[in-house]
Amino acid sequence: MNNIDPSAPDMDYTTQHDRELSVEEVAAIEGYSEDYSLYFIGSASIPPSSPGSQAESAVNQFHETPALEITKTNSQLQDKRTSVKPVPGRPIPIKTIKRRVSGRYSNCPRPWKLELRVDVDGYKPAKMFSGDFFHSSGSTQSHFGSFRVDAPSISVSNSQLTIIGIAECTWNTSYKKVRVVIPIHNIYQPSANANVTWYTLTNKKGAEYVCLFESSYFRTIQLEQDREEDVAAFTSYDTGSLPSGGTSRTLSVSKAYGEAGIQIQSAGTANVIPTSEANANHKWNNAELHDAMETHFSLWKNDPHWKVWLMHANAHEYGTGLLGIMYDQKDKQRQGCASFYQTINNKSAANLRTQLYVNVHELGHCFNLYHSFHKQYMNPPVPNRPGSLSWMNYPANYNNGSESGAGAYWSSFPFKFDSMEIIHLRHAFRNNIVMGGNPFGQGAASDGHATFMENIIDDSGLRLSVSTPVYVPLGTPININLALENISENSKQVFMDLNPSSGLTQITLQKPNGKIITYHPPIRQCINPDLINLESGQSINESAYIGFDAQEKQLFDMPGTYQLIATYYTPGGDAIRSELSQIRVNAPIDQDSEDLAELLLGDDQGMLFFLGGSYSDSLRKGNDAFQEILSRFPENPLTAQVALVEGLKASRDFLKLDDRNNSYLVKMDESKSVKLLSSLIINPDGKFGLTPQNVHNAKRCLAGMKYGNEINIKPIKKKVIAKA
Amino acid sequence: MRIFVNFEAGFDQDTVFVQWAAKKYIFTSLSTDFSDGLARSIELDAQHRKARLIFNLPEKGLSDAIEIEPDKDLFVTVNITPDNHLETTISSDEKIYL
Repeated sequence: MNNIDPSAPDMDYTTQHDRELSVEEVAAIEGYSEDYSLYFIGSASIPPSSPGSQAESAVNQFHETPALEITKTNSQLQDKRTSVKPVPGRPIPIKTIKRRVSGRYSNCPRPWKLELRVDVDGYKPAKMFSGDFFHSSGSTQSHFGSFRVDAPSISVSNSQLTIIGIAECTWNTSYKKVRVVIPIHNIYQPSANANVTWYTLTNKKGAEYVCLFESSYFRTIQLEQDREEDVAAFTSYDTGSLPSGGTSRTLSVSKAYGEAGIQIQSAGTANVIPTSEANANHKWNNAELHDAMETHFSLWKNDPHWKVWLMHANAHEYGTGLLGIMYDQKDKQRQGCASFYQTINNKSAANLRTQLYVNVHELGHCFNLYHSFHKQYMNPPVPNRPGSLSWMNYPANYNNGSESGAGAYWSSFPFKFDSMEIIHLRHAFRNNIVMGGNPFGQGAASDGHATFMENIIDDSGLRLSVSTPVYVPLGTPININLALENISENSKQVFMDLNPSSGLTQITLQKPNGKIITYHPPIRQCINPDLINLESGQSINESAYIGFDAQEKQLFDMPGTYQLIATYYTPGGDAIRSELSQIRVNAPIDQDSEDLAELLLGDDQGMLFFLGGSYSDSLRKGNDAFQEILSRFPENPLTAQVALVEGLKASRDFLKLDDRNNSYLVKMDESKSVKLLSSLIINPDGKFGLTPQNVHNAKRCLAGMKYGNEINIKPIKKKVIAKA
Repeated sequence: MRIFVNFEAGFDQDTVFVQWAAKKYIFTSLSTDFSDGLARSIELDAQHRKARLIFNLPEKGLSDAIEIEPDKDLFVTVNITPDNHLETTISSDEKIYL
């Protein structure tokens, strides 16, 4: 490793090998097999009388849960401490409880400290890993950067776990491939170390780290709690006291976070704050709360740190309707919050439940979590999840499409964060989550990167499919087909709109250079999406152009393999993910194809493909490029996309503004439109990038002109297709 | 009797004119605070048996009017929807924020 890039090798670093080995070669040498797969075992799997009884007592506690179970025959069993007697002639499967590997690891800083978070087993494993680098200098240590590997390949042998993936890093480096190897120990052995090695995408070896197991929690936060005089602060609630959607258990605030993998430690001095510090009417305002935080939060400092202050107060000046607030939204934000007991003070079950909910919820804001119904206002935005049964939803705002309101929420609420929030809590880049880091709402979700992983559990009864071109030349405008199918026996209520422009479907892609991008359409449609009942076996389909992004501009602008995942959000808040699709963009093979690619990859051209053509003067460069393509490359299959856009453009009137903002009409050019669109209908399969819907649109447009109807391109997306 | 008006989501440095019967109010720089989902809460004295409550956001070209006949405390929420509409609800139950 070196001093400017913790993932790069030291300048003096030499390996013991005489040549560089790829990760795959290393794997082959070390004889990894994939005979066993990772899965979590519940307490029911552990015989109470077995040697693992000690583990059994702790099995429901996040930090002590053994999680790997490997079944072997007795002839394979090496552990002599197991008391099972073999039956002659007939191997009996013996279960060996393996120690869970998920959790936090760190190395001895020289000079780089790596904090690694491995998340492959245990509760709701995200099947990913992440980490932070800190730079040590003398007695000081500063945060250098964060990384996250969203979709690693995971292989498990009976002796070790190997995880390999491409990291998204907050620093610039060519060493983006990370391999983590963790020996698998049984529960009688101490936790194993994690061996971390960085590589370039061409498998040149970079820095290596040996990280010791630190905790089964992914992060540890210090919580200081103070209370206003005469307020009895919340301690715990039995979730079985009232009907709910989860297992019955006693939850405190720290246990609720512990279930998400976040350790909350009590810290600082517990103060009793006099009510006189509030204003004259004994009700707090946000300025007074902030002042109280600076005065009484003994661990407070105006810097990012894993410390947070919770004040149990009586009333806020906003009135009885405000049960809690995260008021710390200036300077280094999100370090303090308060809950108000004025209306929930007595110890009835309903009040204790509300107290637990309010305290966990407000601290969730300190972790930079937005309300489930405000996610679209985050930076960057993600779709709202009003049907989320999460600490971060409002009971009254709960709406999963079929039931809504506080009653429905509480009767189904499992006292958990939702999956996307859990990923944020465990794996968000440090500044997006640490108290005192980014302002509230900035980086509050993982910008959809979390979608770049497979669903762990999907009981939605819906299947989302994405069809993409497999091999295309550089410059091809990329259109995809999306299909949402009801694969359950029952009718499902879904949003009609699958187009990414509506925000209900999110496209995440990984470019050949490893960069992960969430697609932001250049124009976002603000819609109130229609709901329909999708019967069993029915599907809805839609195609969309995704080649041009509002922020990144041209997305498919380099040769190589692109990976793509679509995520569709149901009215109930489920995130339905597609399978991973791959698109191979081939490099130009001659000067003509290079020229054509260059003509297609301009920003104006991308916008014209998105709009389906435009006469706007601001897109003149794109229109000029299209004319050149039509004249220079009329027979090239890629020209079909240009012909489609130009043909559609010519098929309709266009209202333009002149320099004096006076409008005038550019009349449709029927003969040009017919000529261009007709060329697409003949042998459309040979034309790169054209989807069946593209061809359908061309046909529909031609039919409209022929019969003199109003010419408009009406997409077929609203059609519900019965399963054949 | 009182009317509580809570301006919720979608406000971003907006100026809002409120008219309740003959009284007129102006609120400037309303922005939604996403820690509680509120941009501003106001309380109106419902002396009138029946009157119109009018909201106007001239900069966004939005307005809405509802007729209210309060016989007990009422809670009104006002949201600007993502497709730029003013959405108003009335309830006799106090809404909880946090």
